[in-house]
Amino acid sequence: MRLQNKLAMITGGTSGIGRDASLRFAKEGARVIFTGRNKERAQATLKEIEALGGEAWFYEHDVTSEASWQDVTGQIADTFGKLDVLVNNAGIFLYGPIEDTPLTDFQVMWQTNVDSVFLGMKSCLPLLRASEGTASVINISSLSGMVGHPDCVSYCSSKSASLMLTRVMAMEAAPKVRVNALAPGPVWNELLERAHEGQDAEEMKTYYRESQPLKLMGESADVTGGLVFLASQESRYVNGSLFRIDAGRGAD
Amino acid sequence: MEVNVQAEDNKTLEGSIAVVTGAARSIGLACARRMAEQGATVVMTDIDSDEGRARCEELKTAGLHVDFQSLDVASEEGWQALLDHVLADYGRLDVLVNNAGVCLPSTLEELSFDDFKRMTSINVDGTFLGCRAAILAMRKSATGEDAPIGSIINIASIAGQTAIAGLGGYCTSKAAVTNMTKALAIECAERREFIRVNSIHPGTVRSQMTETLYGAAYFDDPDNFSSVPLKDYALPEDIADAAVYLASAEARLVTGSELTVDGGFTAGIGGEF
Repeated sequence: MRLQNKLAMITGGTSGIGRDASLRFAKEGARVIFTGRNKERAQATLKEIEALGGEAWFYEHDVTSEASWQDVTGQIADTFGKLDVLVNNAGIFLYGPIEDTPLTDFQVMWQTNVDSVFLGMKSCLPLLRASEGTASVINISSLSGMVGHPDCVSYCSSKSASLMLTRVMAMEAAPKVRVNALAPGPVWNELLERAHEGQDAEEMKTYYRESQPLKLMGESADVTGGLVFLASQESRYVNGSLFRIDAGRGAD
Repeated sequence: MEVNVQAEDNKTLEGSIAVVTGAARSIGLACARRMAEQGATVVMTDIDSDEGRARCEELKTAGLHVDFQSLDVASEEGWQALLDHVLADYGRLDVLVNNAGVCLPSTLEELSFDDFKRMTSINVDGTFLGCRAAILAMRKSATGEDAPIGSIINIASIAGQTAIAGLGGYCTSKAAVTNMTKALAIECAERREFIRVNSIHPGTVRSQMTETLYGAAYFDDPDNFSSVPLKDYALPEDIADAAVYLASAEARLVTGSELTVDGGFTAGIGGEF
């Protein structure tokens, strides 16, 4: 088990990549704190982790709220006194041409995709510094933070900001804390399903798969594989890296 | 076709056949050892046969499945003979680590043309020949209607992503490796193959190459690493761990990617306000 004895916090842990990462981290021996807003879904994940013989805790959490971060990190400080891994995963995806994008949509996207990463690193830094070894922060950005897509001005710009937050914090938080970002291409999960509500899911999957060099539809497991690597000692010299898991799309 | 994501706790390279170049020492040796520990059968190659055979025997004694073949990576015939041997003895090829490389420090204006060509010959030609030979072997390894599957890992350098003063020729060669990697990744993917091609970009690794360049005492002085955010140098095993991840099915969606392993050295510009 590659994450034995590590205490990890994963935001957006009740669905999609965050839920699958919580399960995978538990399988790798980590104690997992996952946070989110949906208590019912969280209960199901807690049961799944318990069934695996793992240990997990769910905290209700609004990642865009500084008060909520203080509440969550306060509880972690009281209960555990440290954090070894932070995965800033919570995010949303909205799209549309700029003329049709209300400023409020742009702001909501930046609050969820950027403020959350800023607040997460800021609030958790004391806990991460209290880790016995070198702590690891992984920000889930996106290929869309490296290359532009039409009709994705809010999403692309927000994910680009999270990459730069990663680079700056890799310098600022070191040497006690490593900070890296994953940049996945499209991954089929609730986030994309919701974004394409009303459209034919199979058709959309085919569209995404065929639009990438490597004709594979991304799955949560592709991202969690990278997360385990970046959370583990195997990557102890990896810091400030922006790593694409994108079927080659960003190399093109 | 489906490529299964690796289940946890299994050795991640169980049953794989891997070739590692420059495997007599440092990063190449660590890659061979780590991959063999993860269940791969590793064909170690090096131009230094004595050293390569000796290290190979040590790994064998440790119970690992390894074999040694002499190889000059800049020789087209050498690669042909190596892959003939791999296919004849093991039936297929799954992983290639193009690690062999040479660094001859000098400003570009003072770099002799012979030294420049030596670096491009080993670092660039060697990687090109290795990738081509491996891709052909991986295609031969595919059975029936299945698309070829494989993972090629090119050990580039942060010198392939950013300029480093005094290493101009090396920078040139590693930049070529960086973008060759991406071009090959796209070429294979566009053929609907699952041959993945990625590069690893180490920062300062304590290796025979860097000990020769800087002297072994260099690594005892923490001041030499003050500009690295993690305040340390890498060990060959750090690069090998990254290679194991890229070689495994866990990275089945990763191709044409750069994996930087540099302690944060190239994340930005240091200094305080």
